[in-house]
Amino acid sequence: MKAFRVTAVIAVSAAAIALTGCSAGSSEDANTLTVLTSIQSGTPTGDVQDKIVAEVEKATGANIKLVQAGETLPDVYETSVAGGKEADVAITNLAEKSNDWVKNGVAVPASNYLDAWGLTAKITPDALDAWKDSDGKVQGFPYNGFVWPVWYNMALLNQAGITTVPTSTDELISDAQKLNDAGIPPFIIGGNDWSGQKLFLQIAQSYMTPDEATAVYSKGGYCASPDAMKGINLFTQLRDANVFVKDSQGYTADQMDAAFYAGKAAMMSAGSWAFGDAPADLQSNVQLGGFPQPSGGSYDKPTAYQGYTGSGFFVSPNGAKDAKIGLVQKFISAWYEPDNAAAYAAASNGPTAVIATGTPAAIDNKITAAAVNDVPKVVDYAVMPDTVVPGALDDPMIRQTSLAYAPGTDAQAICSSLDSLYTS
Amino acid sequence: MTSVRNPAVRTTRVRTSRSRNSRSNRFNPLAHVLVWFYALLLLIPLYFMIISAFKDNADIFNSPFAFPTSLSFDNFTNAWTRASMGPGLINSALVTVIAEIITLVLAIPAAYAIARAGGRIGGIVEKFFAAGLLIPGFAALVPTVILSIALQLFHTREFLYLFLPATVLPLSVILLTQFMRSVPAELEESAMMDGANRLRVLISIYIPITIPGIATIAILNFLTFWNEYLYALILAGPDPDVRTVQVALPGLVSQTYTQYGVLLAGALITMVPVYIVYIILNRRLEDALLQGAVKS
Repeated sequence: MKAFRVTAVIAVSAAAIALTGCSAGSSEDANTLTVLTSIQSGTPTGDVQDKIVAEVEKATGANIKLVQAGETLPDVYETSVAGGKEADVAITNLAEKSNDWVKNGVAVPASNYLDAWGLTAKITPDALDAWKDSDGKVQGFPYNGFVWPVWYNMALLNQAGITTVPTSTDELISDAQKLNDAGIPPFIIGGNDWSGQKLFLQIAQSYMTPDEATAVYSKGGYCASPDAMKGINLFTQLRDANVFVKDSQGYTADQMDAAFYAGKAAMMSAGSWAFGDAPADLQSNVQLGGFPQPSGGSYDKPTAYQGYTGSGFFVSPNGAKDAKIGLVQKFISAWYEPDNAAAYAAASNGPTAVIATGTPAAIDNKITAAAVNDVPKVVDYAVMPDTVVPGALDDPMIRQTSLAYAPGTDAQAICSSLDSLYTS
Repeated sequence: MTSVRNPAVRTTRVRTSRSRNSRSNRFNPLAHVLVWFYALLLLIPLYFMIISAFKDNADIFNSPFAFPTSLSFDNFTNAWTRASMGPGLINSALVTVIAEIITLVLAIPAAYAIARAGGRIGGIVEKFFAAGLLIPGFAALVPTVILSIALQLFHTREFLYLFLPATVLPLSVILLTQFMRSVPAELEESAMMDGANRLRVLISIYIPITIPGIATIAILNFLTFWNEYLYALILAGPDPDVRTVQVALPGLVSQTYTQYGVLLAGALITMVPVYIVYIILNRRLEDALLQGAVKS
């Protein structure tokens, strides 16, 4: 009998635990804010996030529930909106799927709140422009930006007898030849993911004006654009001259970073998010610059990317409800306080969209210092595809650009495959 | 059957039989090489996972098969805290155990009924379950999400408790039916003559005899439930209070820079319960496989 009672108690307790499931999305409680975030705890930026959350909780007495999601964040957010259970705020980058959130009604435009919350004056106008959709609505609150230069390992270049970084594509081809002859892999790139896609689109716009690049990347027409075709031909010329490391089409950005950090490639294209992970002994050998340009191209200097779409805040339909919007305002506004923005800039090694602290306040990292001080002088900035290429096309486009890195794929095949994305 | 009366013939046959046995037991180097090669193929990914869980990205990518230079457990503690794996493991255990119980409670009587049904209806019901195998898992995703929203069970564990058994019932019922059919009908008849009802027959005769089959189903279902990702992600969502460990794990994949050592340490943690369950149930699974081999 006693055994039966014990079993029954265990069974009831187990059932109670099993049935204590709470919603993953917005809480009905007006004093609880659910935030879906791509910023990982245990990282430098995650520590800043924890600090801001603690401050807001202390100031408001509210409970802020951080729900972390990595690469799955857009999928998780979109499906939760379908069930009306989305988080009140989503912190993520403006790229791919999130580009369509306001248009599709799964996020509320930040334009509705920027002036009323006094944030317009705190955010750099370039950042606000970058977050506008085709209707002129600011989609979310811009926060973290990036610089995306080309990294040159001067120690390896010197080993191959190269003393200055290449600024023209002819020099790049010549330097790649010297590096290959010296047994040093030249330019490493994650041809299998977004990093390869961005570099491909950077090279493809070498002969296009920014307006033309914006038109082609947003609506297609690669094959019909002579300038786009010249850019794609340039890409295949570089690829066939072995500028990129062997089997580039199979590499990912993480593999690219690791190989460059280990001194196993002389050049790579990577953004400011990678500065913090660069080994200290590598930093003094790294020179930042742009991607070399062809003669007769649209840019006078080598090109790099910059942008303010690294991360920002989206207000969800749940967060926009009367009961929640006040708490949402306090949470988002806290991030734009000068101390917090400066702390985040230092932790992320990149610029924030906050005017008061546009660049990291304390620069210990030599690569970050070079990005702030040197890069603007030696590069022109190319059109950043993240906010131009339609969100739904981004994933399939990465598959197509990966094929472009495979030897034997000619320019016509590449442009046709890209155009087919816009018509299918 | 003809008996062998001539001793000479019998001796010859015995010798021939021994000769065959000794041939079949003889050391076969090719077979050994192939077996060891196959074992190596299975071990390489496990070896890679274990050593990588103690490394950083640079070591993983630049010397993938080299032994780690230190055996620090930092990656494991990082994975545990950053992905909130504790609650994730509890949620996975709840979902797996409850879904497993529901599956067995439904599948065992269904299989018994089908196995003992003599008429056409039994055959139709069996084919009905078999038809469930034809539904591609991905095709059911959207209707399932709509159903969970309509039932007010979206982003709850409770929906997973109910939904996951439905996904494995067809295979569970069909496999268990085959095991139930192997039970001699005479046992059931004599039990019923002694006054046992259907439930008593099922509990006292069929379940004990088909335990190896039930264990097989339990292991297969455990693996399916424990490793479920897509439906768990969409239906239960990312909240640490609800999400399973398989949904928690990809939270370690960053948009720009993933620490693969931490990710693989997390993956190893999720594998531990699978090995524990296998160790507990593997004898039953082997019995079931041997039972099938003897029959064939």
